[in-house]
Amino acid sequence: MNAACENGGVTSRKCPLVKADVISRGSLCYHDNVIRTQISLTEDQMRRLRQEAQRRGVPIAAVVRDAVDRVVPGSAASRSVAFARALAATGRFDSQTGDIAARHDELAGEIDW
Amino acid sequence: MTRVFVDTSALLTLLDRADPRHEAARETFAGLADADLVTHGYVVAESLAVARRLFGVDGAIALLDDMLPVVRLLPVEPELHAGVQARYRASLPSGVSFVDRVSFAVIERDQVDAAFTMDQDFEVTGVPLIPSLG
Repeated sequence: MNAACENGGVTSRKCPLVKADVISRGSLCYHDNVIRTQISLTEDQMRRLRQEAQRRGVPIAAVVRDAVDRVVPGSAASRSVAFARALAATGRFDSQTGDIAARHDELAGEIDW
Repeated sequence: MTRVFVDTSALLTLLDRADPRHEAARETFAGLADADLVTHGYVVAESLAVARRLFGVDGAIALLDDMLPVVRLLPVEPELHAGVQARYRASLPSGVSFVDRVSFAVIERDQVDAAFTMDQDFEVTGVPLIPSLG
């Protein structure tokens, strides 16, 4: 295990991606903008989590992150400001033709990516 | 929290006031302030490419700085990509785009409640389309 992780501190250093690196004693370690932590689940919760991960074809961690985003979305205040900004951007452009959205597949095909 | 998938056609319709469905899209969007808006990277790439081509750099910046911050990015795992790629190959010369097919797979995988789109192809997902395309 990465020494910085064992010390329980927050670090930007890489830690090896092996299961044994699940951090014990509640300590944290950052890995590519992801905080590694340890949680306890019932057998039934773990079974359902595994099933859902298998159904989606993603790691169990991805299902957990998804659930967290659903249950505890980002701060309402910052979301509200961001949404107001997004709303203000609507209608900012005039294609003259009005068919951009309808033809986006065709247009994308014409673009030099 | 309602989870709503955001398609390229919705993003472009929101930006383009000349689009006959712009007002409907804007009204729909205004009602989604509390929704979990989601998309994936291929929609972002497609939207940026078309917006930059049609609306210039400012179009791309509007997407990046103003619209996309409220839309959460869902991952496209290599397995999902490969599965869609195989289905896309088998479907040719069907008119459904590769990006749309990835969207259909993501919608199914992540239990999306509705799709914000102007594209009737999304009807195959079985989720409600908003605004109504009827």
